[in-house]
Amino acid sequence: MREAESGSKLPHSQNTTSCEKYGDWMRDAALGALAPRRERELLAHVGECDACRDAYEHARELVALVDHGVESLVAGEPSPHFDARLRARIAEELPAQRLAWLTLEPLAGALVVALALAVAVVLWMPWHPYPALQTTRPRVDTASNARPQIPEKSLKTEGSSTNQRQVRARDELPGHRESSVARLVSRQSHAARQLRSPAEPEVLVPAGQLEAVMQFAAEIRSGRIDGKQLIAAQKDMDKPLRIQPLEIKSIETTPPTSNPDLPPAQSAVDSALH
Amino acid sequence: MAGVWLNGTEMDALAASLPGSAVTQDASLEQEFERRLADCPKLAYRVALGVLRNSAEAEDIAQEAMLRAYRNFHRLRDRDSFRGWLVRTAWRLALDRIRSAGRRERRERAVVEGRGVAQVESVVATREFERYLAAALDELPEKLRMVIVLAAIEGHNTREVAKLLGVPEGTVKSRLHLARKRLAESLRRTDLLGVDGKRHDAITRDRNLPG
Repeated sequence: MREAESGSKLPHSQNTTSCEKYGDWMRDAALGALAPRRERELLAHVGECDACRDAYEHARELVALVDHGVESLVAGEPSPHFDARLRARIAEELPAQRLAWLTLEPLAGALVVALALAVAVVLWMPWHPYPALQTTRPRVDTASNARPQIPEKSLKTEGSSTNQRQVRARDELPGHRESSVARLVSRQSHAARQLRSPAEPEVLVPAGQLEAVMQFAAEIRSGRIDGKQLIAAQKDMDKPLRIQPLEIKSIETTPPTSNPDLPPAQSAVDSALH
Repeated sequence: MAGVWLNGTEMDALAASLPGSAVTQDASLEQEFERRLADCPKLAYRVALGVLRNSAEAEDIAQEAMLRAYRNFHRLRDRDSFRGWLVRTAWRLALDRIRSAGRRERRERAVVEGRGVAQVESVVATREFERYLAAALDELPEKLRMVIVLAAIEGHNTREVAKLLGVPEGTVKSRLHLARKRLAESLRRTDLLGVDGKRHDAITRDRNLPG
């Protein structure tokens, strides 16, 4: 009886030939994939044929069992501690990961005007591939043709604690020459170094270049700038890496000529066409 | 020449405190991820469960998938496709885990052992049914298996599954149909339900199905 759905053995019926063709139809109907016209014909038949009705019911039960069975296999909830555990693991992520969440926003006016990059950057990379360098910090200095301003006093981030958020301004280097590389790294006091965790990245930011440094660091963290390559290129780690200033000139645009006879938008279109 | 020394924490703090600057802390990204934490872990867990069928291991996989999601969240170009990304990640991680030889042997042994004891009680019959179904599910091609598992999770319809997998809905429908057909045929061949109806009755009663 139950083999009817496979079509290999027919259910006993008054009309065996008629029942034979319904074998595949039953299976398709049970899966909800039989054409409506055929389904109506099938239902009319099973209404008259007891054997086919049993076979059809069995086919439907089998599909229902499959559906419910698969649902039961994937049923369930994570444990109540799942969230706490996940948050703890996220909290363990390195500060560098949080830094990667920095995103660039368009600058006001959508034009970057003359960005003179004169930064002295020391980054301690948590992914640093050279264990030997862990005691010798890689240095990145830049030529200082932009010559940042020199604050006279130390700066502190508003609302920050002394130990964790202190931001120090460096005194002017004595004997500094116009063409010399700013060796700000060596100017950091021993006490200041003691305050910092060696695992955290350190950045020396010339006055007025904070945004540029942040942008630079974000690019490194995102992988768009290969930090490993920068460090690998530095043969003598006692000497600072030098990054030359990059100047991006502003894009000159011609303001549209206003035509008093036209509305402002039309005037701009005319200007563009001519 | 002057400058300021910043560590990572200070950079974060300063980035957040720079109004209108070129670089800012993307708080909306954090908030968005928080929202994903509300429902997505369950999705990742169930996807992994569909492969591993072990709650502890599925939870490990879901943890790893969510952690990877966190690490890469800022890189997801289309944030709406996050769920699809998570599903594929959890699925891949679960498959990687199950592909270890020892685990595969254990699973296969569990199915074989199940055959020996499932002749007496209805509970055993139900478990045997699940084992056979799981084994039949494992035999499906991956594309069919993924579709039927996703369709079984949270009552996803074919359109939602298509969105998760990034394939046309028609493809999902045909794969789903084929997967159910193969599973039904596989179970029918085993005669697991039994022609005498006893085990069949036990299973259907257990699942509150008409029988």
